[in-house]
Amino acid sequence: MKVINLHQEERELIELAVDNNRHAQQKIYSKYASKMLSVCRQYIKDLHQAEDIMITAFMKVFTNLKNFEHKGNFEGWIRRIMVNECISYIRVQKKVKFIEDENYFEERHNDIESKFSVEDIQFLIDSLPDGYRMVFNLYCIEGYKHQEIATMLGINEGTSKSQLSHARIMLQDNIKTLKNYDNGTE
Amino acid sequence: MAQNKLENQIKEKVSSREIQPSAQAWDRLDAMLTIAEEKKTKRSPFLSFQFIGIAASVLVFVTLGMFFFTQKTTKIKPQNNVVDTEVKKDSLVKEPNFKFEIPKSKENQVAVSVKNNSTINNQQSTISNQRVSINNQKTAINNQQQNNQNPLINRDKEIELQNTSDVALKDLPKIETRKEIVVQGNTNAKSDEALLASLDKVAKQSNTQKSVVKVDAKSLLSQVDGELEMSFREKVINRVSKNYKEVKVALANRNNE
Repeated sequence: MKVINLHQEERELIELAVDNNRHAQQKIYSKYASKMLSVCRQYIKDLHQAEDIMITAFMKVFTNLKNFEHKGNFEGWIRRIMVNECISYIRVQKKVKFIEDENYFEERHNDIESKFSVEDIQFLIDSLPDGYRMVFNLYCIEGYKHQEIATMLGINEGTSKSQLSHARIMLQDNIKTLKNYDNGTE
Repeated sequence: MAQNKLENQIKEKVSSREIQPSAQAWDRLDAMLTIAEEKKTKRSPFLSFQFIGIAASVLVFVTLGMFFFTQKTTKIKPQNNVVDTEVKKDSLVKEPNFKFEIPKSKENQVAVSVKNNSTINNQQSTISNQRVSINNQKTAINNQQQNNQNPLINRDKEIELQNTSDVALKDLPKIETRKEIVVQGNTNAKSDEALLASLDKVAKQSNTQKSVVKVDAKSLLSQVDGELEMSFREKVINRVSKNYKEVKVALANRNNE
């Protein structure tokens, strides 16, 4: 019953926000802003820049809210807008070019047992180049398939796979260096 | 390939993470939303202006259509007038011989009227000044016609009358009435000789005055012909240009005020 009530409340909020009800818009913003800023932060190193992109994405959310058909998850819909905004920002502002590499190594299993804090994980992600980071985030965190990533980024599926493979290798190397740094060996 | 433990760990940690945005973030978003709303509201008056413009243009077209429709009916009349004037022009050329005859007949009438006046003056001493003045008016008119010895002047007169321009017709009687007033002042004399003398004087004065007021028949005819020969389009253009000038002047005056 509670789930149904929550869903109805959200639906009512969305309908009010479509009619430019500022109170409803603020409620939606305050509900999802912290999560969405985290999403933006995955892609953008600078927090202020990430916030700017989040605001622009929220603007798009409210202007396109009438197109939301209430079929899927509302949070997922907002998240997708955030991700697309971040990708377009990186592609336009940083002019990322994806180099096609067919001779990439197959992914290696490297089950690292050690636990990292969120800050460490974010540090590791930030250490990746923009192209690798985008593909890694989309595949590993957002759960997109290579075909979807390829269409989103306008690249080949093979390029997406190679980018992910390179990202994983780089990430494992960075983890090793981080571990060595923590142990005091470096 | 399946995700390894590290990637699962990264996903869990990052997905559960929340970063609180700054306090100004909502204010900025609010400002952006209000700007977007203002832009939308600004569009609606523009659309209304568009509708007003369309309505105004339709009205203009309708009025223009009505104007042209009404002008078509009036267009026929000037063409008929042109035909009439052409006929009269021919008659004008032929008529001068008759002109001299008509005054002669009127001359007799003047004489009769004057004689009658004299008999009346002799027999009845109580003749009112009004009557005398009426008779003298007649004599003045007759004398004017009589003393127009120059046939060219007569032609001018005839042309003025036969052109049937209301302005010319209205102007001519006014000049005559002024002369009549002058005659009335002189007709206070009771004797016939004095009356005749005064009539002669009036006739001379009218001659001199008429010689002053000269009307160029050719120029008048050319003007009238020009107006009549003007095509419907030219007339419309002239009217529009006149109206435009009037509006322009009115606007200029308003601005000056």
